[in-house]
Amino acid sequence: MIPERYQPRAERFHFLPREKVTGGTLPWIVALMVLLAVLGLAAGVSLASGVWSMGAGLESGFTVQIVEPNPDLKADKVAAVTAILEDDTEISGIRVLSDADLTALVEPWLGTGNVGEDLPLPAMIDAEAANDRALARVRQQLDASVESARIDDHARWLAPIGKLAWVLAISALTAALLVLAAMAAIVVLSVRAGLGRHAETINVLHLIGAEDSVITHLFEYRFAVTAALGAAVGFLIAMALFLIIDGLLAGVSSGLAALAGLPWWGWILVLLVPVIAVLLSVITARITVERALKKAL
Amino acid sequence: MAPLARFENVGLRYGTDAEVLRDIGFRLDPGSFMFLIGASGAGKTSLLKLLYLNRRPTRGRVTLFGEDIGRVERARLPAMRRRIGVVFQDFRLVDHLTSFDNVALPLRIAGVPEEEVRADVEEMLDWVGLTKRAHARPRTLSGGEQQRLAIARAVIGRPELLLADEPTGNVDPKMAERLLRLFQEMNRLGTTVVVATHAMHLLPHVPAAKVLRLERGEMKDPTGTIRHPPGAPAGTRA
Repeated sequence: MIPERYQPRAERFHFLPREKVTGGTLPWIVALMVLLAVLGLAAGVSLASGVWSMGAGLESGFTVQIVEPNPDLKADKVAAVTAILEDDTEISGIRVLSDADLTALVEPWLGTGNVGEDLPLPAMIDAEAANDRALARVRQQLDASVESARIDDHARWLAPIGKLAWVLAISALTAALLVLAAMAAIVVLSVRAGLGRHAETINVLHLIGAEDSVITHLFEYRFAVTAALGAAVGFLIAMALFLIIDGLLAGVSSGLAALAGLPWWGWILVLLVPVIAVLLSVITARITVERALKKAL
Repeated sequence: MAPLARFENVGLRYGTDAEVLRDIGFRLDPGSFMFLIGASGAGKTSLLKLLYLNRRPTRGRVTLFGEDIGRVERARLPAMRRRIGVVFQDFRLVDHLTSFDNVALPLRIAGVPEEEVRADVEEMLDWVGLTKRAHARPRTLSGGEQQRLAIARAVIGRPELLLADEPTGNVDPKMAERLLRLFQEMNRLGTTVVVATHAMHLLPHVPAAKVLRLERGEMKDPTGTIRHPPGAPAGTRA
């Protein structure tokens, strides 16, 4: 309960009956809206962050794949490719994947222990190109000198997934904004209902000299308290869900899930949601009351 | 002396209906006392609405406290209204507030310190005989008690202009005379008083009062000098 000295005069002296805004349902509506907005925003920011992390890793990475069933010839080709890559000053991070690395890549599909020596696996060499020109140059050299060597450009494969993630992220952010807009619409309806319920008393207050601000401050105060209560509840539930989701994600060690996670600026955005919800409620209440009162003399 | 209020060729209509007031013109001097008389539907309440700034005239000009109320900015109206006390015909008491809080309302709206509010309200409730009902809600009061409460609320702020719409309609003759004495006392202290009534027997109690008679929205006594309309018993004013 807010101490009386911090309450507006109209609330302190009960100019309008003390009552729960919209019969006590508004805090729960705000709680639900804040919960949905926080989850939507967090999902959006996490996806965007994951996509950006993925993009940063893929910007320069490529893999040279050599498909050669003969082990001796394969070793020669690996040496030839490595030499070409090492000769180029704009290529770095050259790493020939070991048999163990290759087995680990295949095992999720074939099962542990099922990858035998009789299974012909290609040789793979990871590297990073400083720019697109370097990548094109290497591609040209390999095409000319090493048969069956193929460059696998990571970004090319994963670009559509990145675009999809972006669309999902923007959709989630839009959904969060729409949820807050829906909350504002509910506040408008609640304020109008309150004004209608107390129209006679408000008219009397006006006729004995009350300024619009007396009524406006009262509604602002009531909706601020109500929205703050609802926003706090919604935010706490969202945090509890975060902990659960965080625990589940900890068990996922690959793919976008591993990259997903709220960056520091994402936490700031999420923390702003309940604050924005309260401010939005107060501003919406004020504008609605002011507009309604101005219709009367 | 500049008039406190002046009506010049004033008309008032609600929406697209016919005019409820037509060609009203009179002046109300500061410190004067005026009776507004007329049958039900004559336009008394509508004229009072113009005076307590509930309506703007649809034609003509009403000047109050030196301001043209047809043009004055809406933001200035509350300050003007705080200079006016109104006893509404239907009382318009605030149901969820106690008698004490109803009477305190104008002072609290004006931001008067709470200690002063308490002293003034207790004195006023004592004057209208409602001290024992200070914590009662209006709906538990009798019609007469509600009327006295409405009057207490109207005069608590010592307004410059006191408007009363049928203020004695629900009280016994003795209380009616007592309330009228309160109005006279306030008038003596400088408050301009306008009482709309059809209780003609009250008029002789205020010999100096100006009488304005309305009939179907028109003034029938523009100068306020017709004190004995046809049919009225000799010695009375109506």
